[in-house]
Amino acid sequence: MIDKFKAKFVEESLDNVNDLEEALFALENDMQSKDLIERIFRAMHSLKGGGAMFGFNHLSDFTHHLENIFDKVRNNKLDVTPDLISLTFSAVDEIKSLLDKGDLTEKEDLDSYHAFMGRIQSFSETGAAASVAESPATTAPVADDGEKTYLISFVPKEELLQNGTNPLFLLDDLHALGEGFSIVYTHKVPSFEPLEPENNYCLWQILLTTTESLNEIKDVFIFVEDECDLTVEEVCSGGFEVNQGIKKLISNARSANSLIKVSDLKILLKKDEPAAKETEIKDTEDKEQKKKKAFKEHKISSIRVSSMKIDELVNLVSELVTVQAQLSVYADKKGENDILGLAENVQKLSRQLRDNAFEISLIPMQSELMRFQRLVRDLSKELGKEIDFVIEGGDIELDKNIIEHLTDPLLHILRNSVDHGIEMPDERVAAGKSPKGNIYFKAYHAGANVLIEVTDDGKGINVEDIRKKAIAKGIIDDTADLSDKEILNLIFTSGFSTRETVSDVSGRGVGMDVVRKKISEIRGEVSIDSEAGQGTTITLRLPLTLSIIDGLLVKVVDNQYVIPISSIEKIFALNQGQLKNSFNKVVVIDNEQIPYVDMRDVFKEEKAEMEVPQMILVKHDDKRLGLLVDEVLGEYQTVVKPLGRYLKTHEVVSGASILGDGTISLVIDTNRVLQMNSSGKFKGKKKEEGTKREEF
Amino acid sequence: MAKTVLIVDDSESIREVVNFTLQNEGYDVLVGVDGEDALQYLDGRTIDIIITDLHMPNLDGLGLIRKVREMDDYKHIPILFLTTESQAAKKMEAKQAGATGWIIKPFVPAKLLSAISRVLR
Repeated sequence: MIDKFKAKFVEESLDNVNDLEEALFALENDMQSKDLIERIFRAMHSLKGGGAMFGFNHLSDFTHHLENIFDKVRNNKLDVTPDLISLTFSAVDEIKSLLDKGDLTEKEDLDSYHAFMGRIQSFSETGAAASVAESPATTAPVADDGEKTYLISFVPKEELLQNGTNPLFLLDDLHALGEGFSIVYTHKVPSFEPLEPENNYCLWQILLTTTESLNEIKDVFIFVEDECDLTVEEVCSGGFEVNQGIKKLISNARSANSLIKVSDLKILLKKDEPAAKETEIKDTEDKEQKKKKAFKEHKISSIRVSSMKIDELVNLVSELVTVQAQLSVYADKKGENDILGLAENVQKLSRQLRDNAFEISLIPMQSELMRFQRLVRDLSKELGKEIDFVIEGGDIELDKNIIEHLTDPLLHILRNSVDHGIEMPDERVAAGKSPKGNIYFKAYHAGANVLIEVTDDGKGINVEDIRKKAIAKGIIDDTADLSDKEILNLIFTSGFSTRETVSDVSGRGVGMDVVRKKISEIRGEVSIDSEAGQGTTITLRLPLTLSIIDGLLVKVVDNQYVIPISSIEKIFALNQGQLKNSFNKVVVIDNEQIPYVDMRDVFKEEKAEMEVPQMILVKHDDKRLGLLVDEVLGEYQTVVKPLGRYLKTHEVVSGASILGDGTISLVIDTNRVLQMNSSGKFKGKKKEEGTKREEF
Repeated sequence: MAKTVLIVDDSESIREVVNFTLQNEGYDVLVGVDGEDALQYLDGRTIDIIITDLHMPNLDGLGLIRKVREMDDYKHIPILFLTTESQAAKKMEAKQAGATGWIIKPFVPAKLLSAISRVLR
């Protein structure tokens, strides 16, 4: 049944790890902050406790040792040092991988795990050596493989029975742990006269052979600790036999009104091994317990819902909006005041519901920001650069799918800024800048879009260099007359990389062209601004959500289709003459040759002569294509719904939308139309719809 | 009548496990996400036992125990806290604050139930 909760634990732990990382970043800037240390400690504590409960034993062990370190820090026995922070950062990575993999089984993983453990343990020890006071022995749970025999002396106080404890239950519990032999001492029982029936006068000693740990034994007595004197001493490893010697020892002890001593037992049960160490389990008080402070942390004010449920909600709401539209049409037709009023109210409510539902499906970027911070921190350390990374607007919310698509491109952009943008400290000083570079990450709303800007104050991009490179690579002509902005934009062309040698850092076979491609997949745009010597700004313009688009409603024969407005460049009204004179499906407009496809061909509709064919010019990357449609109906904000199983593999449509009157219109995926056109799929008379999707 | 248990933990997964275990066993369960949150249940209704984590935001376990021990209606109810064995000093502190006993994390459901029944018997 624990498995049921495992997934939840992992999810929750990732939050904890995030929090931990966030606190670490803050700690790096404020190494004295008690609050932060406490926060880190608590995150580790939760990971440890939960890890053990849900079967992540490696994770639990690992965080246990980390927690020890931070416990020392908490109690001022260890200082926060950059070393400690770096170690903890890498530990965070290990924790993530442990959460991902669960308990390790691969030898490779285990080796690196143990190596890391060693590092942490040695850090913990050397740290402790440098500390002022000896820390209390933490009773680490040592898993004993073999059996051990303990002598448990249980000397209850007289008032033991008064809180309802039955000492015999405790003995039963002890016997459940292993092979036990109890000795009861009754010499303290008084004669009848002074005897108080509600008092306890007995004491016990128990010889117990068990594989359980000391703590396990101690646990039996947890509720009576104050009402008794308890010692648990290890006698020997392995079991014992109640032989004549022991019996004699017991009777001697009884007649002397004392208890048997562990030292006598040891002699009797002597084994080959060196004397086992005695262990006292009385808790020592730690006076240096620091008082906790009120945390400024968030109260749990949110709930976690699976994204599938949200998708379902959004889906239902958009269906409701459709039905509501039909109701409005009906009410208008009837013209009855009662129905009209009702329809209006339903309309108002369903609009609000729709807005609300969409808002719910948005999540803040926060969790991804941590990765960005890590990247900048680790990379700048690696390269020996000093960088201040400032994030603004991290609470901006975006569609989950957008955020998922955004992470890689942003990581790439940041990597570029750190690697190529910001100069080495001495270079910066020579250029009259402060040795510390700055990278700003800023997210903000602009209308129905979210803009994300990544700005660095590094060396910027030399426009002339780009031009030369582009010419050398054959991307532009050497006679091309381009503005600076246009030249800068060339870095988004595929096959362009400004560095001769691909460095280890940014050269991962991905260039800015891939960034642009990825961003345009989520209907976003990317632009660049740079001034040599001053720095570079890369701006991403993103839609708030993928499920609502601004579309252009068009008609092809009798069917209506939606074309996303973001991909449309221009709309032309053509005349028949232009089409008839066109050659090889290319028309000349404004002195430009533009290839086109007839959407009637794409959808295999009957071809009749169009009165005034409309050409919608769409573009993706650097490719442009005109789509011929019969009629442009107008702009339309629409909810895109996924297609069913049968249409899913269809290449030219990416979704469907239900119009106000209940009719369904398909949403055209212009990128794919472009792609298919350039690969010649629309050219032949016999068109076949491929079912295989081409990967970007 | 079913006994009412108030569980207080900031970890959702732990809350769910404890909740599941106890409800299966026929207890009525109230759930608080931290000490502050738990206090709102102490409004005159009958609660038979409180099980609380120690490390929590806003009001931690120790604070909760102290507060409960000051309330006329509730100062006698047993309070168990969840802890790990490396927290010896914390245990003493919690005991002094007025806790009845503790349950070591990690626990298996049987151990949790036996600890509760031991206190409630």
